[in-house]
Amino acid sequence: MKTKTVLRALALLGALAVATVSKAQLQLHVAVDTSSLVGNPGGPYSLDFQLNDGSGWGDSNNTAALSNFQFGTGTAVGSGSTFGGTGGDLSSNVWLTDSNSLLNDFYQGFTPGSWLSFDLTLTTNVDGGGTPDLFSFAILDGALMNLPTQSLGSDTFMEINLDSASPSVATFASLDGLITITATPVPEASTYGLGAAALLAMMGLSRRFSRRQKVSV
Amino acid sequence: MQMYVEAMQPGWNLGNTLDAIPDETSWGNPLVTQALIQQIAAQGYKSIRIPITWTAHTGAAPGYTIDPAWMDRVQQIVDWSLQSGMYVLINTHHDSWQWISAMPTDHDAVVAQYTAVWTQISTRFANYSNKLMFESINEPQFAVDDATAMTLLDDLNTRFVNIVRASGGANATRPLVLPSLHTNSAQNIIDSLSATMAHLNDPNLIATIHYYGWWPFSVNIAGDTKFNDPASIGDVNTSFDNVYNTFVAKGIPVIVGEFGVLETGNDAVERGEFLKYFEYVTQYARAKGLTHMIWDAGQDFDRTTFQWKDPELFAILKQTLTGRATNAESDLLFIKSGAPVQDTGINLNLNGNNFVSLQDGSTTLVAGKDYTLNGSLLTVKASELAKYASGAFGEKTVLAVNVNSGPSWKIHVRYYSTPVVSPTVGTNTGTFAIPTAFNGDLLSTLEARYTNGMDAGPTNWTPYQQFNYAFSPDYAHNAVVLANNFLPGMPTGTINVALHFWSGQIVNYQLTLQAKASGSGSDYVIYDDALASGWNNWSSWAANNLADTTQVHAGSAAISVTPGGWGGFVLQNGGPAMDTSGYHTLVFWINGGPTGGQSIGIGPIQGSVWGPGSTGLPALQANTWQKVEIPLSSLGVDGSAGITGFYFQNWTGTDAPTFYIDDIHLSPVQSSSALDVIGTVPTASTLTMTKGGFTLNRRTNQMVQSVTITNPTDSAVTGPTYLILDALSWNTTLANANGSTQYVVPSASPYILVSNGTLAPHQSLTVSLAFTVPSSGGITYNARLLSGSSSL
Repeated sequence: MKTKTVLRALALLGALAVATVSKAQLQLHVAVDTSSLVGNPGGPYSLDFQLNDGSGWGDSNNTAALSNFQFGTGTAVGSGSTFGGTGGDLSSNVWLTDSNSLLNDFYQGFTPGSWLSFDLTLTTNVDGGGTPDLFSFAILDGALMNLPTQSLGSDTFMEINLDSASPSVATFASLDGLITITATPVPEASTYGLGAAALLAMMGLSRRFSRRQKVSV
Repeated sequence: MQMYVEAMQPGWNLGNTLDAIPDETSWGNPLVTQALIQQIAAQGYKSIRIPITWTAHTGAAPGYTIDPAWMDRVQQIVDWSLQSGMYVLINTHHDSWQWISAMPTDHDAVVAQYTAVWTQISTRFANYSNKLMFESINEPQFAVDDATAMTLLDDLNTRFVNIVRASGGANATRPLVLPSLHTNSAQNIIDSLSATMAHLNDPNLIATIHYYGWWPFSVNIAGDTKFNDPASIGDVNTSFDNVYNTFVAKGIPVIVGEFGVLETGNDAVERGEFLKYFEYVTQYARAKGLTHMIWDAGQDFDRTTFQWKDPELFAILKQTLTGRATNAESDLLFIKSGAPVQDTGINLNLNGNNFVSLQDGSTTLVAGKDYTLNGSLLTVKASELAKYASGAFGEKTVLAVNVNSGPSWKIHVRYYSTPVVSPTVGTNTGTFAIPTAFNGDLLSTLEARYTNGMDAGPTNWTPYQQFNYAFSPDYAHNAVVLANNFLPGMPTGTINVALHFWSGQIVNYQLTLQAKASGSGSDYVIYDDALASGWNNWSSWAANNLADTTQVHAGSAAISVTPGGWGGFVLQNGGPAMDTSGYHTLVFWINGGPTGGQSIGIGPIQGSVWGPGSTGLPALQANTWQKVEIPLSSLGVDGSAGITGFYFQNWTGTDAPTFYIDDIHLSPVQSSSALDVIGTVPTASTLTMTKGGFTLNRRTNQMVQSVTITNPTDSAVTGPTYLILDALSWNTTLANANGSTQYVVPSASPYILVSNGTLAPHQSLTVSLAFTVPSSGGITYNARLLSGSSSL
């Protein structure tokens, strides 16, 4: 009996560890100053999200979930255009996975307000082979071309190379500096909950194990 | 006529047989039998081209009578071919360069012989059915500029048509085949043939070209190892589009009278690329209404066993008669030792066929578990590959991509480790072997540059030298061998060699060429106005005079030699044995006499052994004394104690005019052309590299990727620093690069000058690479960094 209890404890610890690995993810709240786009003749504008595969040959080992879109005084327009493993709508949620080996792309029109924001939940599994999956965010103009940014050739406002469990987040302003972006980490409530549950379970096991040890003495 | 020619599809060449010089079996093929001809027809071939060289079987002027026995033999094989149901094409073949090429300088004599030959052929076959065709000449060539050559060919083709048409019987309407200059398909060349056909205004004419592929691919030079767009595929398209638009679209049919690759039967053109080439060429020819006739010099169909030596190739050719055959971006899949086995993708070219299954040996693999197919992307799961990631290196299994129509595409799974090269030393006077443990990998190409950027090797316009001409892998003896045309003549300095392997691995090597330590002491005189004591003239091989005063370099006399074909002049030391080990260079003066132009070879004698090496001189200059210094190492006798003679041989089969030799010495001094070659393994760059992922920039319509290069050490790294993208996937090109990049070469094997300056300790530079958007699949390449003295 004692042996079984120890095994259960070890199994729970193992499950917790597995849960931690499989749940490796990044949560961000992203806010963009889009005031310079209001009434701008370069529109209509679109938000463009990509989650492109690195060395995984379309292995679908990462997903991006985008939610809680806020457009200030603006709004989402029309429906989304997709290529590869993407779907959804700016009026609700958007998802992407790196299932296509070349391009997984979602874009949809929006009417800019003075700002926009959304939440991003991104898994962070690393491809073997040296080239990471990449999540990127860009704004397209009326010709569906990226607005120029201060990034290095990609004209994106945000890039996240999934090269580690805790990847760095690169953000770039527009080339003219008028559009700025902030990406703020969001604590992962479910992780707290899982951790707390595991802690409680461990405490309970510990007490039971301790009591039974006393009894047997 | 278009229907006539399409009924000839496909055709086969009885190569290296009746065209062999002088006789049918001279080039190694057996005598033709009726059974062979019947077998070719039974294989589905509808036409046969019988190349015939008439030169050795033609009598003297003015009759130029063809040997009746030879004509009978030709007729016999033509009869067998017609009886088998095939269309038959005969020609004048190597006559083109043997005597017809003299047309610019000996026009009337060539025309007289040409007229006599074709009059006799036409007369012999005058009553044969129109399934027999005549081709005026094979691969016309005249050693003059193209414009002049095209005028001569117009003259020749016109005469040919007139001779045949006037010779009676069915020749009045017999289909006649006219080639373009060199049977080339360049637009200006075929325009000239088109003009000839226009003025001939004969409804029974057929144009012919030959196709041996985009030359760099067909011989594997300049890094053209893949059958890819735009070069190799584009060349097929351009060539066949040209002849389609110029002839077929205007009612004149076209025969591709020969096709193949130039380097065949060896590793120069990789197996999968070889098969893709044949598939594309034959299907595109058919799509353009061109009838193709494969050039088989004996390498394809076994003329004794009547079996295809390469049944996989034959199956592909057969499939392209009705559709297309399936292939893929590669027929190689590599599993690297010591690395985690990963899912591995290969883009299939289904070419309109449907995928049925993937087979490993006799086992049909399970979709989803062992592999996935997403569009054209076949991904073989790591679990399927892992079982081959152990044991001996090399090919472990063959996966077959089975489709609903046509042959399977074979994927050769190889287990490998990065090849390892080792230091060695040698000289520049012959071949040079780089010790190489291949570890299951296969050599793709070799890149060689001096540290100053100059290309190294026999080809001076590309650093990617020609496979099997400048270098070759010797898998049995663990070496990459530089041919004896690679290092001789190369200046001193350091050559960076990059061995490119089909796995994508690049292995660097360095060759340092430096002057030999020179000896000292007096020369050993062999001839100086007279032979030295003990030396004899063994020259019954060639007329000579050891006391000739006609042309003298120094002193009072020289040696004159007047050799017949392959004749030579031999000097032999019959005196007391002398130690020649202290001498390194054979020195003498030579003069071509009033005529000049002689082709002379020099070799040593050691006792009764002639050789082991020899070397040829450039054509001798008339009435000019030239000093010749031959490193004994190039004759294979440097350091030999027992040199007992030398020979000076006429390296042609015809009589040579008199030439002169004087002041023959052995010198202890090293020739300035004899260099030591030190092969070393260069230190790997200490720089590290981190790749970012890809994103599509819709403004530039390019896939963009950042790459950060870091000096992780506490020491500065000397520039320049290059980033090289090896084995860039076929589906894209490097379009641009931004950031800290200073120079970009957007070519087939692109490299980027990241920085000219020094990278400070722990300094990083980021470059942004921009690729054209692939139509499918992901972008892959192997990145390589070079810095400082190991740079390009």
